[in-house]
Formats: sequence, C-alpha cells, structure tokens
Amino acid sequence: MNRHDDLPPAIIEAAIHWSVTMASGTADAAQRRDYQHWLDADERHRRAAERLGAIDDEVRGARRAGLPVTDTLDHLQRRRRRRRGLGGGLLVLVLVAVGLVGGDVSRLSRDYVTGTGEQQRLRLPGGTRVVLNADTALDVLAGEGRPTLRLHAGEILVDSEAAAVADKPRVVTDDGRLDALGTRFQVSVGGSGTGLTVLQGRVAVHAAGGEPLGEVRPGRGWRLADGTLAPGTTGLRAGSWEDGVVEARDAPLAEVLKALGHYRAGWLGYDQAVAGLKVTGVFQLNDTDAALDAIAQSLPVRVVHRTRWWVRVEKK
Amino acid sequence: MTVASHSNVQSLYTDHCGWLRALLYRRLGCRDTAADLSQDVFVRLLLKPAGTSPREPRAFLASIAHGLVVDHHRRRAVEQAWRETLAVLPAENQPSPEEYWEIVDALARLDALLEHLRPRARTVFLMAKLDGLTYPAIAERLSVSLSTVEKDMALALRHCYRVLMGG
Repeated sequence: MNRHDDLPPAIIEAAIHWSVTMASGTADAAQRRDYQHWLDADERHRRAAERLGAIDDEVRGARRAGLPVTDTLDHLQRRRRRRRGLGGGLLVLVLVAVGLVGGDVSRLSRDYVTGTGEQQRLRLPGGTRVVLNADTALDVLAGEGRPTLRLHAGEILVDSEAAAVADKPRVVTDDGRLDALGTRFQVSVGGSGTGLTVLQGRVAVHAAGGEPLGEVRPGRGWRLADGTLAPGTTGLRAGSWEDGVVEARDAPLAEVLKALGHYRAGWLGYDQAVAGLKVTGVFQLNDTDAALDAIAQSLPVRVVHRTRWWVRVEKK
Repeated sequence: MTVASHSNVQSLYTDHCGWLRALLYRRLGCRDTAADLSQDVFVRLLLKPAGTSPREPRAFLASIAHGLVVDHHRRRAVEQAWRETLAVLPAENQPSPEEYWEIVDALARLDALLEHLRPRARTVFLMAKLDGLTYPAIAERLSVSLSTVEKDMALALRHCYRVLMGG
C-alpha cells in the first residue's frame, strides 16, 4: 500500500461493507452478483477492495496450522493488561481505589482478570469451557492431571461436560475446593464465603481443611463458608449474566444491585432499609440505567443520581 | 525537498551518531542493542525516498529512534510470549528454528497492526483471519449476534486500513 490515501472514505466504507458481507458465509448468489457489479462499476472500487485484501497479507505469515499462534497473541495481551494495571498512572489510581472499596487489590496480578462490564471466555486443555463474569480474577493451573482454577474474586461459569473424567477441573477458593463430576456449574466468591450452583451433573465439595462435605446436585444454590456447606441462594438465575441479563426471582434488591454494579462504571449504593426488598424481573446488563428505572417503578424506592458516577437507591 | 543523498546521511551520521547512541543507551540500558539500533536509524534514512535535510536533525533522528525502540520492545515481548506458549507443546510439535523466528516476525507485525483495536473486535478479527472460523461460528463462540460479529469485523478492517495507509 502506498502512504497516500487517495480514495474517498465512502468508497472505503463500501469496500469494507462488501468484504464483510462476502466473508460472512451468508452471502447469496444475488449478493455475489451485486458485488461483482460494484467492483466493475468504478476502477477505484477495485482498488479499495485490493487494499483491503492486503490486510490478509499481514495475517498470512502468522497463519500456521498446529502451532499456537492465536494463543501467543492472547497470552501477550493478558500480560500487557496486567502490566498496564501495575504501571499505568491514572489507571492504577482508579483500579486501586476500586480495589480498596472492594477489598481486593491483589487481583491485579492474576492470570485472567475482567474489569467492570467485561466477560471473558477460556477453553482449558481437555475441553472445559470457563466464562468469567465482570470484576473477576482467576488463576489457571493446567499442568499434569485436573486443571485447577483458583478463584480470587468474582464469579465463573464452568462447563466441563465435554471433558474426560481425568480432565474435569477443580475450583479452589479460600473456603474450600469443588471438584467437577461431569458438569456445568457456577462459582462465586465475595461477601460471605463461596457460592455454588450446579446446573447439570454433580460437584464434590471439600472444606479448606480437606474434609469432604458431600456432593451438590442441581436444584438450589449452596454456600460454603467456615467449613460448612449450607443452602443459600441469591435469587438470581445462575449464569444469566452470560446471556447479558440479571434474571431475578424474589431476589433481595441488594443482590440485584450488586450484579448490576459489575456492569456500571462508578459507584452504585443503597440504603440498608431497601436491601431486603424482593425483586422479580429480567434486567439488561448493557443498560443498567434502564434496569434502575424499572426497579424504581416497581418498588417503593427512588434512584438518586448525584453525578453520572455516583448513584444511590433509597427508600421512597 | 532534496532527494536523500548519501552525503546528507553521512554528515548526519558524523555529527550525531555518538549522541544518538547515548540516547538509545539511556532508553535500552544495553550498549550492544543501542549500537545496533543507532545503525538501524541511519539505514532507515538511507532508504527514505526524500527530504532528509531536516531543520532539527536531532529531533528527527530521535523520532526515528523512538519508533525502532517501540518495535524492539514489541518484538521482545512477542518472542517471550511465543516461547512461553510453546513450552507446553511436546517436542515433536515444536517449530523448526527457522519457522520459530519467521513467526516471531509475523506476530510482531500483526501485534503492531492490531494495537489500539478494541479487544472484542481484535478477537473477532483473529478468529476469522487467523483461525479461519466462519462468522456464525465466531458468533456462537463469543455468544454474540451475527450482526455484532459483522460490525466488529468492519471496525477491525477500518482500523487495519488506516494503520496500513499510515493515517
């Protein structure tokens, strides 16, 4: 490519549109014909398409079957994100401030870290899939035997159905360890202990000291704290965040606000007087303002916006 | 503007080489690398098509040197990530030394190209172009809609186009 962009932006945009349409795998014969017409209509159209094609030349050298090139780029990005967290001026101040409020500064040095509003997907050797909810910190130890997931903060959804028995993961938290037995389950830490909800299959639970506490099956949520396993639920459908929503059924307002808070920049607080109000509904995580409005309409509460970044839910 | 002439570069070299090497040494902390990169700065100048009589020669040299230092750090970071990722592969699946360095070069170029691109668009772009996944497969894997994948892909192409056109 030369260094002078002599093509009008509209032509570049059209070429991008066509490139995406043609590569999407959904283009039909009529669209392919239209594309050909577009290319033939103007010499500059063809030139724009060729320049976009040159992007492929940049990628081609890195395309190697059987070698983990994409993994390398992912690994590089993760390490950078971590380092940026540790050395990036203003960003550090903000993260540390958030960390102090959340009581967890240590999450800056973890293998996988998601920030507010972020989710991340992992695929472990052996085929287990892991999804990190927002504000989550996770270390992955995948050597010999079971992959071990050390959950430091936040929430993960584990799907090990496809993994062979020897590759089923183990999740470790401060409160104990959870061994997957062919299964899909959600684990969260924070507040009081470790929350566990099994969606499919079974999970064997051990306390931090190693004593077995039994197996958990689908049906209800459990809480592991202080060496005991007890029924405990947030009233939120496990894994609903993976679908981009908070699905609440008779959930305490505090739990709903906590879930929304992971998808909102700034501070979202509430009066203790409203914390236990029961909420039922489905709220979009990508529009938490709308979710707060909906809550204010259905409960005796009002949402006080002091600034864009400081919001508090109070008794009406 | 004058066409780059050998004598122009020669006089820049004579006047500023020591200064440039000291500047690079401060940035890199390694004498050998500083010497290598300062040579590279003048090689770049010889390859430039035009306009190598800058009014502020040191600012000009420093800006070229800055680009080379960034590339140098990037290549080192890419090489380290590549080495660490390969460490888990069995011996029979390791690349040949030649292939190893070819891929470091290719990954460094790609990494520079995709810098500043939004994370999800970057992932979509790599899944499509590097892993060869179809858009529906990407949508499924990321749990987003097909139109989101298409939008991200358009964003990535626009980004790459601008970078490659030097805009």
